[in-house]
Amino acid sequence: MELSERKNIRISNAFFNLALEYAEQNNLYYSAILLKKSILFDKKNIDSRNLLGLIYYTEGEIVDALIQWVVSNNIVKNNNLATYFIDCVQNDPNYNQLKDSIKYYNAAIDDINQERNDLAMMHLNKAIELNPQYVKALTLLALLQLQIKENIKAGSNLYLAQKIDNGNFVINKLMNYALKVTNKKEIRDKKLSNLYSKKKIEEDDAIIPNKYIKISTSQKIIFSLIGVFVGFLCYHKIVLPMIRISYESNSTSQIITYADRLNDLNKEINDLTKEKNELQNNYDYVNTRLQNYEEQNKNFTFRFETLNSVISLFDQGQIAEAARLYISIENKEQITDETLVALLNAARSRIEGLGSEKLTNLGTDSWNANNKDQAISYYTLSLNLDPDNPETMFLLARLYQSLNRIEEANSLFDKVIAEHPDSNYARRSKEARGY
Amino acid sequence: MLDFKEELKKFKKSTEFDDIQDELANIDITDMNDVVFKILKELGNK
Repeated sequence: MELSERKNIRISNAFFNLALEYAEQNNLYYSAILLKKSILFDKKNIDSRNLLGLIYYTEGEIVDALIQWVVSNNIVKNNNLATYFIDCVQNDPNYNQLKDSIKYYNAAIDDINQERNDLAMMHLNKAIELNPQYVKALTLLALLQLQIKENIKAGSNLYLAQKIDNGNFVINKLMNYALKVTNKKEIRDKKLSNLYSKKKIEEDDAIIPNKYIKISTSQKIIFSLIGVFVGFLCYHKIVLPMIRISYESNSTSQIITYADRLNDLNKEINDLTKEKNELQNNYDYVNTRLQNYEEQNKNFTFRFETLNSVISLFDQGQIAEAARLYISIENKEQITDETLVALLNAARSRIEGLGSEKLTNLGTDSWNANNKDQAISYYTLSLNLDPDNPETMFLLARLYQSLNRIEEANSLFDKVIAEHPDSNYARRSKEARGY
Repeated sequence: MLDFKEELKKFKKSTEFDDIQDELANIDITDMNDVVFKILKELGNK
């Protein structure tokens, strides 16, 4: 054996010895590093390979473990622990579960790459369920839990991982972080284990069950009925009165509210009715005033026009028409309007002044023209204007006498005699009368 | 503070049973003895 080869073997063995020490302290991480270095210097160091395989197996990396043992077996076929390890693994009843746990772990890696962290956590939980010692799955799950601030759960998983491999710097780093964020940095060692460990029942622990009382079917029925009765009683005596009181108080308060409202509405109606009546009165008053005004306006217009016509007709010589129009004006004494009064005075001075005399003359002219009806009309009109004119009364009486209307004639004669006894017409009336 | 994305990147897939044959076929079992032997051979050839 060459010197270099012997040296490499010694180096490999040295690394193996160191790795063994770390492995005995559960520092599998550094142990694995040293074992790889050991194999690097001497590929035939089957102890290093076997131990490395064992470390992989302990951490849940079954395939990596098998690879190391298979290679070890190929290097040294006889008296090799690797053969025993391979048999153990293949005969392990959990062999399939261990295989599946790797699949779930790899599925979780794919999920994380696609940013489906929730799904990744589900797959990791499944992987851990199948292989509770799968360190990489525990660590990865803890990391995801720390990301979503489930710090206590992360701490639990990291604690389990640390129990398997206390040298893994990633696990230690995450654990320190978990302790920091849960504010329990001061808790170490035993306290830490109390924080995250779950209580295990030891063999010496005695479990004392609670006292168990067996109840028969009839007892169950009786207890049920008692329960129903008590419940009914409670409802009837306690709950129902409370409901009734609550309902009544609500009803009463509602009634009071409605009564108040009704009262307010009634008051409002009364006010509105009063207001309406006032408005109606105002309306009637104004309407009456308006009607009066219109009436007055109508009267004014009529009178204005009539008086103007009287004056106009008289001035045109149509005495009879003017006189008739003048007579048609009613309630002349009630005219108070200045304009109308002025017109009335003008009309009066014409009609009542000269009008009756002219009408009497017209009557005489008509009689002379043998137009006796016309004459009667003129004399009558003249008497309307001046009822106290003895001449007109005498002439009309004489006309009636000529027409053999004796009674009408005598009536007028008597009036002249009675009202104007000293006048010439009274003497003439007596003569005409036959006194 | 923990950079979660960087920490997550460090996790790689584990070897599955279906890939064991490939892994065994491709495994590199070169050690220092082989390297030294190769160097010596090259030096010898020179």
